[in-house]
Amino acid sequence: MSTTTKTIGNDSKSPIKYSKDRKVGEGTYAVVYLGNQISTQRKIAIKEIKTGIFKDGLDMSAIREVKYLQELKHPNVIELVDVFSTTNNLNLVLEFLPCDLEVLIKDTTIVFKSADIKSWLLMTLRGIHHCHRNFILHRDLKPNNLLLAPDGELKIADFGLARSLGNPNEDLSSNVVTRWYRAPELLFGAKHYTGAVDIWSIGIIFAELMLRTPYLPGKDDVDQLDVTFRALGTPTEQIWPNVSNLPMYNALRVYPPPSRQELRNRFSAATEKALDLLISMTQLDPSRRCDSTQALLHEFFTESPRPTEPENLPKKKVKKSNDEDESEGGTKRRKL
Amino acid sequence: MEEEKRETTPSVMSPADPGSKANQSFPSTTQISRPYFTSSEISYLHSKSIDDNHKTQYNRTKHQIYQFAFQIVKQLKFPLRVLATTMNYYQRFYLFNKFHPKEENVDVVDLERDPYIVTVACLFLASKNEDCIKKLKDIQTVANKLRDIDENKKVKELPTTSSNGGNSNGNGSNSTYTVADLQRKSIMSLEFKLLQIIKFDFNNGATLSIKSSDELVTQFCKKLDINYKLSLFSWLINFDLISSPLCLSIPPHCIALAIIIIALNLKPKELKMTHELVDEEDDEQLNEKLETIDSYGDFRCPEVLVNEGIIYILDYYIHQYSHSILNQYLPHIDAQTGKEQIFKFMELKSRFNDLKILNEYSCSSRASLQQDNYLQLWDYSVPSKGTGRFMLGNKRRRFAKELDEAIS
Repeated sequence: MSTTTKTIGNDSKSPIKYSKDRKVGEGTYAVVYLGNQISTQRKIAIKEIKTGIFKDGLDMSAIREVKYLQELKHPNVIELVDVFSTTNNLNLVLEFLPCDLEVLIKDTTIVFKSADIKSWLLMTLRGIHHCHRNFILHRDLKPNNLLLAPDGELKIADFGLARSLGNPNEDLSSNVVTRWYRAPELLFGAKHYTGAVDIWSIGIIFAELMLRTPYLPGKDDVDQLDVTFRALGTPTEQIWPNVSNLPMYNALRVYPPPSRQELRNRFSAATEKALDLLISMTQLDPSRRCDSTQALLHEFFTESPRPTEPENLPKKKVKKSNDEDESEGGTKRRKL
Repeated sequence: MEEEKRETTPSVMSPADPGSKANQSFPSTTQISRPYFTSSEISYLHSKSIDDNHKTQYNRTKHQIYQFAFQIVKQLKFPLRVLATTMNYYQRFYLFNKFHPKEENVDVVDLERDPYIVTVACLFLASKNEDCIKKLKDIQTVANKLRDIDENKKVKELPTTSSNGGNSNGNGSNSTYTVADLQRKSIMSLEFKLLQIIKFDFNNGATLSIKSSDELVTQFCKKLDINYKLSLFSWLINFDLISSPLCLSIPPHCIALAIIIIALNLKPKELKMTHELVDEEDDEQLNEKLETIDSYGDFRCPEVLVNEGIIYILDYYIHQYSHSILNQYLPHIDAQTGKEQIFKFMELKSRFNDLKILNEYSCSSRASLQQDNYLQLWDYSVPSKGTGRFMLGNKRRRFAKELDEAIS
């Protein structure tokens, strides 16, 4: 692990310089460093993308990340601070976000209050609302792409699969979103879909925050259908018109939809309003699923308790004097 | 309008800088993306990138390139916006890079200078940016078939191993490569160059919600409830314009609206169509539609940019109507006026004579153009020896307001 500090962007006229302090992760197309913006001592992450050495040039995910993050500025979306090129490398300077939601969910020593869950859900929805109103689908929402800033703000990150909601007559790939968070229309191989796929993922994340364990952990793509429908019922023509025309709709085991009481039992700590919102976000038929506006206006957010202020949210316990701990978190949070 | 800060001159780290302990100096530059240029800026740039005796060659090549790129797009079943972005990149490339006409009868050519290879690189990056992903190999195969090139032919690598993108996987310099291998190497290198030329601005100055002009033309026609014939006419104009540098001057939605305003003014009666027209508005109704267009209110198009588009398009047809695609769809003589079609464009232009174009608002004197460091051939050595920093301008956010102020 390199500890040398290399500054980039040395420009006597420009006040902005960055230091690359420590390598925290390496993937197929990029290396991530932690560093500082020298002038402000603001901590930043530098994603160094190797260009031209891979067989098809600049990676698609890098293009998407630059393209969409340049466009989006929102407190709940990771900030792309700068774009640099040095000796055939592309450097993306990103906001430094030391933790993610997955780390907290897995840390059983931390207790989540219902107000905490409400706060994280609210910030996620605000972030995705901003994406959707700019016609951008994220397509890979999951707890480890929801990063947490030191001040507790949640930020949606990793736009490597994002795309803009294009032409209605163009096919989109259904092979998106990490399996456990994949909406039923994607599992059925739909070629046309909307922001509803992101809302589904957030619904499943909401459930995971309450359960502290993944809600629909399918072992493979086939199992994912089974796990999903066992929990939420098998879609029929009646509740989802034309579903049987989707490419992968066949040979399904038919499960009845869960009763309200069954859901109450599964999510014992949830209020009725919380259940309402969860049900609304996990409607099997994407056209019946709520959108980000409806979710944000849901009464769940106005009933007591109020969402926790970000700075008071639970944080990862920092082991003092163990520097390695932080870098481990850093490595983990970036799937490259 | 051009008040933005630029630091294109390589600057050496000041020795007085207290934080500097290194005594090496890097060249560095900050580039704020400028997606649009006035026509005088474009001709100033061309005066540097295209030698005077190559000007006609440049235009001729561009038309061949347009056909070439169109065929690739067609065979790979890409949407038309990939073609539009390709032509945008291609023309942008030759604002900041020297144009070398294809040298005939030269055995060993520098592939990076070959406009066709530049086109493939542009198309490759455009397809990625437009979310139509294809392997470079597949694009190359189609392109080489169109050009009648045997891409599997073995060749010796050029003795001069260029420093950029040099990555021969440790092979000895004597090993043989296929034509496709060499092309790939140049395309990879060109892609990185292109990224610098577009300043890593993948939105091309527009916001993401603005689509390409071919989609917008049809959408605007629908919104204005314009009949099929005029919609097709508008679409054909747009198709002609994809190969023009208008996309370097104004954003796509302004191009689309300018086209529709021209179409509503010209109201062609005889257009070759494959579909029957159901019912057609009379001229009165069309005039009314023209009258009620609110450029900014309905379409978020600053009027001055739409005017720029109108003037450009009319000039385009006045100068090259006979080479246009539109020409193939209209009768030679316009039945109503009894004259050649080109006179309709000239007549319309005369009615727009009082419109001002951007050059008249912007400081476009040669002296001020010379002072603008952005308007130079791009020096790739700066980001490769030091750093290049790329930013989106914030101009687009205040564009409309500023332009309105400029008029008043």
